[in-house]
Amino acid sequence: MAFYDYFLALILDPVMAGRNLAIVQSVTLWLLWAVLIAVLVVQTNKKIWYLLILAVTVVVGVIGFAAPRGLETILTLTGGGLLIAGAMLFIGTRRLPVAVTPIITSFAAMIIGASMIILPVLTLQYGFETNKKHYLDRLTQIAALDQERFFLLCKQWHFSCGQQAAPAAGLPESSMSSDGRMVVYHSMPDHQMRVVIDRQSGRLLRDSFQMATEIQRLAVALVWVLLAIVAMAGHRWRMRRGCKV
Amino acid sequence: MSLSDAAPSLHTVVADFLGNISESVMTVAVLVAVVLMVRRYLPVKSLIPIALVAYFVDFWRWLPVDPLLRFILSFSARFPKANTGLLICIVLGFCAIILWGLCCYRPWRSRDRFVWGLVCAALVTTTIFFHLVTIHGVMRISFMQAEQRLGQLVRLPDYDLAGLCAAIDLECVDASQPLQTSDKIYHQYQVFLEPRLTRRPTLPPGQQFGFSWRNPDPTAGGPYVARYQETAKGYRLMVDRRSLGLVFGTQSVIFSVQMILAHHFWVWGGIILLLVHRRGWRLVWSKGPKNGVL
Repeated sequence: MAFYDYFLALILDPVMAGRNLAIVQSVTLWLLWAVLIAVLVVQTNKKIWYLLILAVTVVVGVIGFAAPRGLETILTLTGGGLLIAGAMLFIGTRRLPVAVTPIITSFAAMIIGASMIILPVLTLQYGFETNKKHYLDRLTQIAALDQERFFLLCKQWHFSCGQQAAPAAGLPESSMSSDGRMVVYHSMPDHQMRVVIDRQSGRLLRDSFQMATEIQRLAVALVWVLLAIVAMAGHRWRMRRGCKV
Repeated sequence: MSLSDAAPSLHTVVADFLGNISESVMTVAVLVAVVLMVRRYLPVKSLIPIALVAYFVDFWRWLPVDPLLRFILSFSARFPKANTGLLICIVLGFCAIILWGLCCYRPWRSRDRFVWGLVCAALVTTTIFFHLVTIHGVMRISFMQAEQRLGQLVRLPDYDLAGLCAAIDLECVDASQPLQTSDKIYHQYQVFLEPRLTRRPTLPPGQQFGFSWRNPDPTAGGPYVARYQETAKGYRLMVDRRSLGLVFGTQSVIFSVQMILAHHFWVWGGIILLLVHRRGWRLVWSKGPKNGVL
């Protein structure tokens, strides 16, 4: 457990500081790779195209670095791009057969791109949203308690609570703000309403789900980049031995 | 409330179903590995019965594996209760070791055995990774937070805990005498009170400790968090199960879907990889090359 906590502090905190990568960036990268690989299929064994991939991934990586949402962008775009492009440069110099490099590279890019979309949908859209609704319901349950228990729980659990006159236009909708505050409004008799603000739970919830998403996307990207390199190196090795690849 | 009252949520039921599918595809990997321990190259025709058995037969329940698993788990307190997924992971680990071991001896070496060893290792690694991030990461954080909140309530002095607990769906025990195994209340809440005696046999008055169980098994209390407080005369116990059912169910669904996607990809992707590396479909559909060179 100590190692796990250390791992969390060492790896996950910087990732969380970089916040989430916009899906559109990932899709853009995916499409970019797909187009370039389609070109490679036609114009294979020309070093200029490998260099072009290298240049484009570096440029995209630099753009990602400049963007406020950073660390994951740097690793997936620059790191992954550099590794794949570097491997292709290294292996491509001795001319692998026409199909091998594009197939492996596009396959890896496809998996990485798909994971960039599937993982946030699964973890953030489904997991986080379901849990957020559950926490809001839980706070509403607390807001509906009698006076004594309501304020007791607020004090014990460090919520900011209050009771005031309800606006004539109706109660605002319970929600979670962008900074992670959960705010719940509950209607009371005599045109009163209760407000419960939880500053910790929402943030913790959001951070944990984002952390999970980022880590998984990073892992998938790095694993498939490495697999692509190993696969190409393996084909190159067999070719050197005179085997058909 | 008795333990049997804790009904599984819809998310938990869905997660169980998805978990079975995930176990099925891991079973495909195990069966293919067994075939490859006997044959150097995978006969394609064997994939049909393997898939049928893995997906439609409750394969693992038929085998007398429980004693073996208990023996393996007895070496580590980290695994308090066995489940089928854990068993399959252990078997897959052994399969990878055996297949790679066979590759060490040149006449037994083959591409199929080496690649399938990689697939088995990838399945185990993927399972561990997703478990660390989803179950041991996100779910654990939610459980720890719930446990901390119980800790802030259970220490409230001279307060009517029973009324409060009923209002917010918690289970509470506020005993005015020390914990004794002969008490009726002990037998009613044994799952939650037993850890006090086994894990903290010497807990001084005024001290508390918390524990949780992230497992859907209702005989073990289902997913819950609990906080135990030693008071001057007796003890207090607070258990939260109702509010954690959905948290547990959601994370289980996420974990299962990830496993299904990743494992299907590794297993069937690995099989396709083996097949496309054979020269021509005639060899693919035959029993494999006799000289070992594809």
